[in-house]
Amino acid sequence: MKKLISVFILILLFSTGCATTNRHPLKVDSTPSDALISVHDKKDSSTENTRKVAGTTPMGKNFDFPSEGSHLWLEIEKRGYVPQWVEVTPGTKALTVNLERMKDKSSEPVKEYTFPLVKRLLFAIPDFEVVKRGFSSEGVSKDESTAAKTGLAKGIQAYFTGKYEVVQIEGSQDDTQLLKSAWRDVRTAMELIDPIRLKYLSTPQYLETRGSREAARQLGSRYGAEVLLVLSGRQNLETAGMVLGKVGLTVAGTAASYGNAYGRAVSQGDSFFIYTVYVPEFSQGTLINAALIDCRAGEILWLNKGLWGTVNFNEPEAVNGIVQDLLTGLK
Amino acid sequence: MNISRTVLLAFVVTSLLGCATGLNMSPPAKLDMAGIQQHPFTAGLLLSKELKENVYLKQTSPFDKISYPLGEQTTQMFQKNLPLVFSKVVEIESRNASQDVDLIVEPSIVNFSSVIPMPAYNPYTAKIVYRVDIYNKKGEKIFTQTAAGDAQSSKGLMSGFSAQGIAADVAQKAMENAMKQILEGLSTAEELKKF
Repeated sequence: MKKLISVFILILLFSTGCATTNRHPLKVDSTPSDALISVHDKKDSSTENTRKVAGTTPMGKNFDFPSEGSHLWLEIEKRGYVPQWVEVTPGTKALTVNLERMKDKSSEPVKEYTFPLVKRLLFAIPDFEVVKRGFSSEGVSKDESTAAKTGLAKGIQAYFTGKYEVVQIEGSQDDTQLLKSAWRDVRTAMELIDPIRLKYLSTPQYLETRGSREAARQLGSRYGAEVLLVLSGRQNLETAGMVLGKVGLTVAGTAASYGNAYGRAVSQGDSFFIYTVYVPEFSQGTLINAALIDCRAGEILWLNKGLWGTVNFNEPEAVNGIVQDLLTGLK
Repeated sequence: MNISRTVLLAFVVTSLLGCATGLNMSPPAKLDMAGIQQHPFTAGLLLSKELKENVYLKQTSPFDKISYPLGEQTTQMFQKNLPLVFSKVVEIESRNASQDVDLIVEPSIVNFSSVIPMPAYNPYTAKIVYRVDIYNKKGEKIFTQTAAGDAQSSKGLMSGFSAQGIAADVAQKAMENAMKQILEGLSTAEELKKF
């Protein structure tokens, strides 16, 4: 039986894995600098959902090398330059990568990337819903969703006041149809493109279909705007019934635990007992995605997303705070 | 003693390996897409083996997994709904077998994710990204539409009694959401109108 227990412990150890530290310092630079460094265990590994970003060049830090193989692949990316993969080992102390300029169809080096000059920003009413989570069901609250959309729109206007002229899409049938087309590709971009990596990708990213690019162009042309800003998101709010239910559940759990432990201690003559205090977990919060699209070409210029706690969209200060957070990096 | 040892060892091994429980999902419905424009073409629907057999495994505890029959659902969804945007749809086995069709529609699943919460009263969510590539008879790609669909649901404090049912429902809603966008994209595609 002892052997069997040993085997069980051994299997558990194998299944949980034993981590060993294999950390080594490495300095990475590139010419030109300000290139994004991603870390991979294998060359050309498809890790779009689990990308490990080390930082931008020049930088130095401790890298965790795998215990087996003991080497890593660094992917170096910069807009307008051919991405490079470089193998490093614990022995590599410093590394400088010379990035090669990308070439166009006529084999000429591509021009330096520039962000379009913006005077007027077009803003679509946010695609935002507030979900009320009740005791035994949940559903979208139309009134609170409308209030949230209005609050966000005001927050955006306030943020850009004095910087750009902001004009909001009116919502005619034509506009709605164009926006629907643009939204389809924007939502996909929000899902698939890493906001941090976007500005470092070797080539600019565009809305996928000709239809959505044309929709962005027509909207821009109709309102005389260079860029289109869109926001989407959701807020989960728990109703009083849900909160009371959770609190009741945890109080009952704690009382049951206390009662059982106390009863056992009395019957066994113990001088102390241990019981569990259950604490309710609340899952309220706000998720917002944002994208900025170049109306002329349908290029995705900037993306961001963020999570916040419960936001009262009727309070301008609270809304301005999250708008400021969300639009960080967009100047 | 030998029997008890064998039973204990079998229990330990099966517990550590874990068994995937298949998620019961009702057959997908024909979507309500009133007013959608239909292209006057015969489309060849190419459902790859990889797509048909796609299963997503979700680890729900160290010893349990749930398997989502994504391929089966997606296959049925395209079979039922693609005729909404093409006047005739026939299934084809490969891109070469395209003699009797005007174009080929090849769907794929880009990614899928789901949240089965713990505690069970928190929100259940699912996200899926579909991609559809359209080829002409020469095998040239003429259009691609990618669409992301998501969904959230919960039965609050009652969720624990039907966790698998909610997870299945949420996944199916996310698929329907993505599918609707794919169909709208195909219906309004300039590339297909001028094909």
